[in-house]
Parts: sequence; structure tokens; C-alpha cells
Amino acid sequence: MMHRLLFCCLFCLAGVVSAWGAPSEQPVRLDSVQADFTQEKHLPILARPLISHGRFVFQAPGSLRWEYLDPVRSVLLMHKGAITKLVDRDGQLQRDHGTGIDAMRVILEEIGSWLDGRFTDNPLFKVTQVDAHTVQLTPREAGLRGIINHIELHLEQEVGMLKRVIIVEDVDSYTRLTFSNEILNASIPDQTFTIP
Amino acid sequence: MKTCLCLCLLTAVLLSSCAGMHRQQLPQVIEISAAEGLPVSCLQAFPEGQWQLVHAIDFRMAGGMRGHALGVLVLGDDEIRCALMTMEGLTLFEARSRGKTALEVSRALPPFDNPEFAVGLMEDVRTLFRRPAGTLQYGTTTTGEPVCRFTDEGTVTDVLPEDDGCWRIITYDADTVATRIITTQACTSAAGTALAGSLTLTALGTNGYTLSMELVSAEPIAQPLVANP
Repeated sequence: MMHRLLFCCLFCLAGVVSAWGAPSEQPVRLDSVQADFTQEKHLPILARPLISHGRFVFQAPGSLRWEYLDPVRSVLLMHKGAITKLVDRDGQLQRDHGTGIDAMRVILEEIGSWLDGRFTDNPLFKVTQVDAHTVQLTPREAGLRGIINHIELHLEQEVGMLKRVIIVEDVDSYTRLTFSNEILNASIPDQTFTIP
Repeated sequence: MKTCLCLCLLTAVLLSSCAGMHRQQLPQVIEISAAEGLPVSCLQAFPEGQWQLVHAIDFRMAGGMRGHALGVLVLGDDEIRCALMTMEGLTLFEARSRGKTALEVSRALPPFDNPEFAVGLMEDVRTLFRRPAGTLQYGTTTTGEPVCRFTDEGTVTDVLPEDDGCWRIITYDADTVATRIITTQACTSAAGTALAGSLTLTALGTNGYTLSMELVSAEPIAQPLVANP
């Protein structure tokens, strides 16, 4: 079950790494995407939402750098089949061996599918087009729904850009990721995806 | 699989009893007259008012396994709300507690779904952030350290203020054996409350564990907490 949980967590991370057109439109093929993000965590127990900032870089077919800059710096790297998570300890990034990084291999397949616009070909999530610019992903299995109720993908008017992702755990608990400063198809050096 | 094993072990150690391995015994206190005054730092160790605290938690288990999580605490006048999240924000555990007994768990993903885990977690939180119950003695240990001693139904909590504005907390069971040791560093004062920039809680015993907590944010809450949002 924990494996499942971590998978979902990482799935949510990886899901926003892609950019695409609305399901009814011709998907945009992307070689690379990079963007800043702001993450708001809402929970019923919180007096105020938790705010995090970070940046991600994705290079097709399967290189990813997902980095939180504040309040706690951490970096997830995937490159050439190797997956590493680093967490700041006393000002230095150190390997975190306590995460289920093997689950990221599954995520990479998801990224590839989404980049190709294959929204319906997903064994884990039922895909619903809410409107022209909103896609909802609902876990197919009840076990997963107990962890994540659904994921909303909000697309920009411009085809191929992702504006916002909302990961809904239950009615009052959700995470909102908002993207900015997107750069598409820029050349990205390999060092971006390797341990600094 | 490694993660599953890691988290299961974490749960196991958090649930563990604290008997045995380290046998730090309760030191004698040379009591000082109350007229000489209680060290303010004894009481400053426990936040007054309502706060939302976020910590980056590095947990280390007896077997050498390590992991990270984000811990969120909302301290009300009589209520504690807490959540554990992955570094990426997925909620693993969420609960609230009033007093020592009323505990409501609203979300607990395996392996955090054991009721004893929730009880143990809240006990850690109370030890870290709530003024202990019981009768209070103030004095010095036989080695000359100032100490505030709270005794409640046989258990003892010593709060030991330090010169740099930080403090240590040591709890003892009814057999006068140390069960938890808390050290603090980088202490500052905000809104009349001392806040530790870093806290280390060491649970003693054969399955002991260590929680190293770095304060990420501390926000006083002006409005009363809503009972059931």
C-alpha cells in the first residue's frame, strides 16, 4: 500500500512535468519543458496554506529535474534510467535513500504518454474532459481513490501549455500547483539532470 | 519495496516501548525556594498562544535507516492539530487532539494507520511543545544545572534551561528511567515565545529513534481555531 502511496505522490509530481494540447486537439510534441511553480498545500487543520516554490525541467524522452527551492530545498533527478533524490541537510544536498524512487520508472512511462497526448490510454486513471481547457484524472481503483480523489489539469488557452494542477486528496485537502515562466523546447545540458 | 520496509520500520520504532537500552536515571534535584524565582526559560520552552509551526523532519532509526518528512503543527489553546507530509506535499497523516485523551485521526495512510502510532506521535508533540502537567519543583541537579521538574502520576519531565536561551527536556518513566531526551539549538524569541531553530528528540530504548526537526516557519495565529472546519 505504501508503494502505491508513493507511486501516487510521484505520479502527481511527474504529471505536471508534461505539456500538451487539450484532448480534442492535436497534441503538441515537446522536446523539453521548463517552468517555475508555486505549490499551495491546503488542509483542514491548517490555519494558513503552506507555500512552496520550485522549478522543473523535463527533457524528452525521460530526463527530469524537479526541484523545490523553498522552504525546504530538495531535488528529484531522473536521467538515463538513474533516479536520485537529494534533500538539503545543513546547507548541503545529500542523497535521500528513504524514498521509493523505483516507482519513478512507472512515472516516466506516464510522462511519455502525456507528452504524446495519449490521455485515454492510462490503466491507472480515468480521463474526463471537463471543458475545453480542463482535464480530470480519476483513479480507477478504490485503493488509489482513498489517497487521491482526483487530479485536475488546467490548460492554458494556448495549446500545449499547462497552467495549473490541483491534486485533490479529499474535499478540503488539496495541493495546487501553478506554473509560470514556461520555456518550451530549449536546449538543456545533461548536467541539469545529474547530481550537482 | 525499500520505502515500504523503511516506513514499516519507522512505524515500529515509533510504537516501541522505551525500556531498556539506555538507563539514564532520574537525577536528584536540590530544591530552591520558590521565592528565588522560576527561570523564565523553563516556561518559555513551551509556546504560549496559538501557532502554526512547520518543521522539516529527518528521522533516523536504530538500524540506520533514514528518511524525511514535513511536519505541520497547529497549536491552539487546548488543541493540537498535526500533519505529516511527504516533501512533495502528499498528506500521510492528519489528526487533532484535545487534552490528553480526545484524539481524532482524519487521515492515516499505511503504515501510519495504526492507532498506537497516532497516540505515540501526539505524545512526542506534547513533550516537545506543551507545558507538562503535574507538580512543579525548581532547583538544581547535583551537577549544578538549573532544572524545572514536573511530576505527574509517577512520570517526570525535567526542563533544563541553558545559557544560550535554549533548553533540554528529559522525560522519565515511573521506574525513573529516561525515555526521551530533547535538545534544542538556534533558539530565538518571537511574540514572547522562545522558538528552537532545531530540535532533536531521541526516544531511548531497544528500538529507539531520533527525530531531527528544523524549523521551517513559525506563524502566530491571531484568530481562534475553528473547532470543526
